[in-house]
Amino acid sequence: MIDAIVSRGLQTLVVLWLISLVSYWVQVTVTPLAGPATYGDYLAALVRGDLGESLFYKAPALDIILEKFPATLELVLGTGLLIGLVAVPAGVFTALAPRHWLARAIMAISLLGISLPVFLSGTLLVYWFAVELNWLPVFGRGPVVWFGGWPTGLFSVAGLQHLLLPCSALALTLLPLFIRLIRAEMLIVLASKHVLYARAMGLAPWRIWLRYGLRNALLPLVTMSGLQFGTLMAYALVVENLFQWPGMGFLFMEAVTRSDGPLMAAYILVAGGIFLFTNIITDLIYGLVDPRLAPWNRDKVSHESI
Amino acid sequence: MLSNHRHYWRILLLAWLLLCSGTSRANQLHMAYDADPVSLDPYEILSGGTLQMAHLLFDPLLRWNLDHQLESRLATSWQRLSDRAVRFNLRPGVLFHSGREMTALDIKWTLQRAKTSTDFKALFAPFNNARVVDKYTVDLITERPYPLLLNMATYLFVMDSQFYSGFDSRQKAKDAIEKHGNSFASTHVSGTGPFVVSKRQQGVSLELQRYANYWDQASPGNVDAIRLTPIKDSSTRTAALLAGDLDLIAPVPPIDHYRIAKQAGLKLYTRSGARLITLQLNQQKRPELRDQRVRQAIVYAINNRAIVGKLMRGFATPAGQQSPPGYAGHVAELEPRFDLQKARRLMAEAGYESGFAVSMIAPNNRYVNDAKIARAVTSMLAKINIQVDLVTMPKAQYWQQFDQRPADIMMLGWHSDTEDSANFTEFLAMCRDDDSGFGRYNGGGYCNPEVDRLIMASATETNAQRRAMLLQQVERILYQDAAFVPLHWQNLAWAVRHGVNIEAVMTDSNVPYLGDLVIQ
Repeated sequence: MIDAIVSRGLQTLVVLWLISLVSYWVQVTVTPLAGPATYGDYLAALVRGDLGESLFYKAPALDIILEKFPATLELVLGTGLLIGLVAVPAGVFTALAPRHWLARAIMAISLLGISLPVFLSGTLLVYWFAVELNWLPVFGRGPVVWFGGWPTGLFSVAGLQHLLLPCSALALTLLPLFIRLIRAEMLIVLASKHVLYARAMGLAPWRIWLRYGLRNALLPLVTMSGLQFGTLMAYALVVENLFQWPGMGFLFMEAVTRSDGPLMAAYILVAGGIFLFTNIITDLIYGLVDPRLAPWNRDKVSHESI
Repeated sequence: MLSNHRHYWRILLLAWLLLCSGTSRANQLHMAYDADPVSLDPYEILSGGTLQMAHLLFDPLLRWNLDHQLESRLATSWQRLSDRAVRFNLRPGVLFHSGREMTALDIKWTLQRAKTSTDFKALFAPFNNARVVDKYTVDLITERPYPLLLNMATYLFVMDSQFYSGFDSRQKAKDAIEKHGNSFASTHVSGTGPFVVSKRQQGVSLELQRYANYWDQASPGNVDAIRLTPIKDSSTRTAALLAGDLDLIAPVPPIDHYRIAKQAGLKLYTRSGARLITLQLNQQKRPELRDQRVRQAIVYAINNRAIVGKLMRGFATPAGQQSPPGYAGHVAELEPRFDLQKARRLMAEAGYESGFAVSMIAPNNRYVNDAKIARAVTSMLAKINIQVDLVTMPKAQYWQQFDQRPADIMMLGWHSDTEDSANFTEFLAMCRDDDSGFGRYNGGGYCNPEVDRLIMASATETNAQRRAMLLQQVERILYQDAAFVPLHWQNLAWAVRHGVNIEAVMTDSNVPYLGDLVIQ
């Protein structure tokens, strides 16, 4: 187990080092005169936790990015929740009744969703729900409440309303993928022997579908969620700019237009770090869901179980 | 265990309900610009954004009214003492946001501070001193006779000298001007303006409350609070107005004009503006461009009217000179030139019938449709065999590059800081001199001693009529020499919901006097 953790940690460090090469290159290309003179100095500063100072804000770049982190996290978590709430029932339904008109409609719409770029689907959402129907606000986070050191928009109706459109736009990018994934997994599980056996035992259909079907079908979803987290962060950049969401992605795009090299470099590092962190978390969750697949057990059981 | 859980959810729900609070909208104005003020110091950065901010939090001695006439603000009256001095009688009983009364000493202090600002010192250079006569009387004295003394009084936003004196918590002087720095004055305000800052989050929002002790009780303005949100993306800005989230937006891109104008409940407000868009022809770099005939050929080859009609959708005024109509230097007969045959003839005469290749740079997020205009120019110049290699870039990179004069053709827009013709020539067409600051933005390297002489003469000519003759003479010379390519003057557009009476407070310089704004 310790071996696994150490090797995992080393892997992470190597990737972080590679990211630091990219971020250094960005900083040097955008603002050659600001920041450390050599890559060695840059790396040494990074090790000390010093990610440079933003040229525009005149403050440590890391602080500025972390200040915007709550907004991005709320956006991404809200999107995750939305995807879960829609994709699971939709995926299960399309697997159970593939010929039903509603299932066909869901599949057709998800095909459309996967082929629309997010800036277009986001714009369409704004047009319908904000401009034409006037139900939801167009931009920003609405009023935020300070909860300890965390500014949150989750505790007011206006805050939640502001969250709905950006989350929907972001969710649309991954919904088709997840609906199809759950549907495919469900179809496989429903055709497996233990489900047949459960049916023969006369268990209630609901119990079979949800307890013996869905539970097994959710396994690959965990991997997929972890992997797609990075995609979500990338799309969040577009969505944040579209909806004027005061998060990290928006900050990054502003840094680009202001050629704030140190801030851009710091964002690349932080975004890379978040991605690595979620990958580790995914691995750990995997172990919880199915102990055979935990990083520290993989070598032990792989031969017998496959 | 179960009951504990229930408890937990109840508490959470209760906390959520408690934290949810409604906000009242007692005459609140919710507006969006493309950017929020970078600094709250009126003398840190010379820009339209600073001017808009300054009129919210501060007051000038005088200001331009809607008919481009000077009207009294902190000064109740003024009279010229000599050709070098003007006496201002100050309004008594004007309170700063700190609660202290404004006196002549604050004017003197503000002027001295402005003269040290890197961005403003060129504008205030003609001023010698402010002489305090008594508590409510001050004389502004210039080095030489200066015809624009009153124009500059509109830039004198009086600051609270005591509030900005001393040292802040970082042991830095409170009156320090640090460009893009984190100075005391860039985040703390005590002015005399109609609004005080209640909350500011740079880049996210600026919230203002009406100042309860504002001196101008006669102002019809009834806005109690303003919330300014910067929305960079123009379509998001428009969508937010259409959706009813906002009361006022600016700027409005031409492509959205029709959509807003036809929407019930919204108003589009436009007027002709004074920001000139030009192309500078770099003579230092290219010998071809030193030939007057080549420069004229370029001017003749570019169809200003087509750019205004097609790209700007009519939302600009084609320009043939620097000064927009209404300025002292404007000459009515200097019309935009477009004649392709003549352009080709001129190229042939200069010996460049087969053309040549040039480089060109333009910003892509500074002026309305800047990159599109640059591309259109590229294809227009191809018709006289000038091959243009165009690079467009965001303004942040553009201004860094512009200072190096790296390209043969460069786009530049200019709005006269003094609302006067001479300012264009001083910065764009006079021989470049780094000490005096003249020709600071003259990217073409055009240098004509006669132009310099006329402008210097106009700078001390206090007779308005004689001065106008000098300035008009300059425009004629620049036109004949084709010193640069004038494209158009950008129009101004603001969009509001019905009930926001923006037309009553809007000026030529794109600054609305929101303290006097009436909303229903």
